[in-house]
Amino acid sequence: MRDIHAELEQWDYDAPTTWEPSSGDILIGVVKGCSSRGSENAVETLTVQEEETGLLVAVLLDAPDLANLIRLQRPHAGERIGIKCVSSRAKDPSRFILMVDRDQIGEQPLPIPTGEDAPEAAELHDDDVEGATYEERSFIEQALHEDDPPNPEFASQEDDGALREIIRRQDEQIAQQARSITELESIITSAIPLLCNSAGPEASAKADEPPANNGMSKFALAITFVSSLSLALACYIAYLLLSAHV
Amino acid sequence: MIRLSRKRLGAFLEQTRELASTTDLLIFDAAAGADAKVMTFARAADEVVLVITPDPASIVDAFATAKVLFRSEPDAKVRVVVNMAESQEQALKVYRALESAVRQFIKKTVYYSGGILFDSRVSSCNRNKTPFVLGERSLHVSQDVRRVAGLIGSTQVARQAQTVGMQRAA
Repeated sequence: MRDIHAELEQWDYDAPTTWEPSSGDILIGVVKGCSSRGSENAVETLTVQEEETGLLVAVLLDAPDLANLIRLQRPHAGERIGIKCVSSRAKDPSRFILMVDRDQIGEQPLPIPTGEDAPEAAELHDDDVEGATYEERSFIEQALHEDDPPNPEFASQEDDGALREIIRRQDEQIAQQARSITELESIITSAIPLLCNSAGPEASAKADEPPANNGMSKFALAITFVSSLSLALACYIAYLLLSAHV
Repeated sequence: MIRLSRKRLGAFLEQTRELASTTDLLIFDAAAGADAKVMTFARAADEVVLVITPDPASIVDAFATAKVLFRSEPDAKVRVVVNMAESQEQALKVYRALESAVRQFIKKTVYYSGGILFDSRVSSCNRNKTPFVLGERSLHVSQDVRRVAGLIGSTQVARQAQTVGMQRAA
């Protein structure tokens, strides 16, 4: 016998009422939540706010077929569902019907099965809604044919490294050119005293006197100078050639 | 199996739950496409793996499947495996094409779980009715499959769906 007094003393106005349906009973409402099993013996409970009364109703998922229906359709909190008790016999394998009011275009409501092999609802065939649109298909095809976009960060690092290498090479070339110029200068510098000394000591003693063979000395000096200049020019041309080759 | 009535499918799923105590992972190979029955089955799965090929039609089909799935299961986490790829680079490129489309149009994410290279010797194994993963372990494709399987089996995932549905034991 129930302890009605104790139950009334502990009455929780906020506690949901357990749904104990009979054959033909229908419950329509909004899912508020589903409690998980606290222990092996505990029963999962689906809490529904009944549409007609606004009361919270606890739907026990102890019936295997109802539990499977819930597991298949996975109604989320906030979704509107309808449950009908077809049979009140506990041993009946299909006691309940579950419908979830989802905004799925193209998914038609399930027909009431007349047999075990009753066909399922019509399949989705509206490609315009469920399939990929033209824009989506084009996007995919374009993505397939495009090369991977360069990683901007990686690209900048790569360019940075290339620039550093170019700068390093240019520094080496400049240093080499400076050495070449220094060598040329030393050659030219060393050639000029030779040009002066090639005229002999008499030339220095008779510096004030016009030399007897003034024309010849000048010619020899010119020849020497031209030879030195040619040498310098040849060196410079060689330097240019080397620079171009590098 | 997808052609089962809802009652039979529910009974089947109930029986699969009985295997939960002795099984770590159950894999169901469902049909391709965004079929309503496939979606129903996919929603019952904890995880989904989309197996695609470099064929654009396959990628578009997978995208449509993902679109329908995410509509009913916004929290779905979908894996992608690229099959019959010419190279791992191509497989990755195919995945990125699908992932970018999903991210662009559905605002969701699909996860890459590996690529399996094409190998003509798989066909000969099939003719001999020998699983190439067991009969030709040295093949690159066998190693690819093992790597993908290891990746899927080891990573913790939330409940998600696919053309291949998986249920993880609790």
